[in-house]
Amino acid sequence: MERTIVTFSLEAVFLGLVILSFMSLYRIIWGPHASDRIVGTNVVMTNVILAIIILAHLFHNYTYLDVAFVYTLSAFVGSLCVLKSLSKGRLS
Amino acid sequence: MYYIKRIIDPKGFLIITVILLGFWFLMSPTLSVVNIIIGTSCCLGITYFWSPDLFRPGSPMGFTPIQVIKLMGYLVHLGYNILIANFAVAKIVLSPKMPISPGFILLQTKLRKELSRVLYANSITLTPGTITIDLNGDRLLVHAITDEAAEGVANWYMEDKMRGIEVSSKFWSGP
Amino acid sequence: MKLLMELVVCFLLWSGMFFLFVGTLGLIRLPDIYTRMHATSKCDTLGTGLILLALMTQVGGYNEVVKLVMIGAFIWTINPLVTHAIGSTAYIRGEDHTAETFFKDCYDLPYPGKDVTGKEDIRA
Repeated sequence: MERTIVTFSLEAVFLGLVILSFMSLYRIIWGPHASDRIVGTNVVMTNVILAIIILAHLFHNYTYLDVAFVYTLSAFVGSLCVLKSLSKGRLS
Repeated sequence: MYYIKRIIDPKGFLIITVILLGFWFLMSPTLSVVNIIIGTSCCLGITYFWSPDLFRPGSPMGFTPIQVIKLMGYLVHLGYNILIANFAVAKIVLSPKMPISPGFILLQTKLRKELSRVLYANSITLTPGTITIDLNGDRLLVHAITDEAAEGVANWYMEDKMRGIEVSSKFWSGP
Repeated sequence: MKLLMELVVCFLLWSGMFFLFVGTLGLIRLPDIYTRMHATSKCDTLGTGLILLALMTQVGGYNEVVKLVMIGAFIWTINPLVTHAIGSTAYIRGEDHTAETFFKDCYDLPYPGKDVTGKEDIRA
């Protein structure tokens, strides 16, 4: 794979996504309430989806797009489950 | 046996199966015989076992071509508003003083159908300075980040556009 | 022409990265939960859309582009929904907001005294 400015930008964006995930780890650990932690977790989930897609393109292994797709569907459902149990006190 | 259920609505059953099959062939890499057999059986099974939850009596849904064209125009306006919203939030976050004056507003909508209310609430969330917190009946609880956004959301021009889409429906009845 | 295309793709990637950075910075800097949600809901949605748009021009093949479009559509519809759910959860649990928060009622007067979630008073 020849190196162009696009591949360089993709690698830099991947590194930036990792740094942004660590930055939002601040809000997950020291967040004063439960909702703050969930907001931080949502940001990390979005970053992970983008990182999977960028790595799939850089490694030329497009099977990982399915992984990203299923992760998109399941991650937000998990977040909604936690929110429902926080607001109602039960999951039914 | 109690778990063998009768198919209530054959036409709706077929429509949902065809939609699921279309999604399967959109996602499947090749078009081979094994793929087709697995996809068809999976779609039929899923639709059969979830059929008591899929077919609920309620108001009929249908879309006329005029509604689809108007919805396209609505989405273009929505994209423009999303761009403005992002630059506004970037300006607030990146300025060192952070000029915010947050607050809650309780609004009343003119919209009558549930689907258009939900779409309008989602577009409030995506656009300048406001997010919808709760929606019950025709009341919207909105959180605004500045005073100007709070003034702007009270009579927003997108609500009239959504009202126009709603009125041109085929199943429209009422005020 | 190829160089121009690459420059456009790089611009899309870096502007998406900028908006994601602004969202995360707002998540850290802003004072309470409701204003933090303003930053994350808007900036994350647009940044994800821009980066996915740049990647759609790079991956070859019909199947991969369709998958990227589906991922983008799901994120653009689910992200406001999760924001809505977080907001209503924080409101029901009564998590505190900043002191200068104002309340305004555009509904019919006199004020009913009950808010939409069934709690006692919106001003309490």
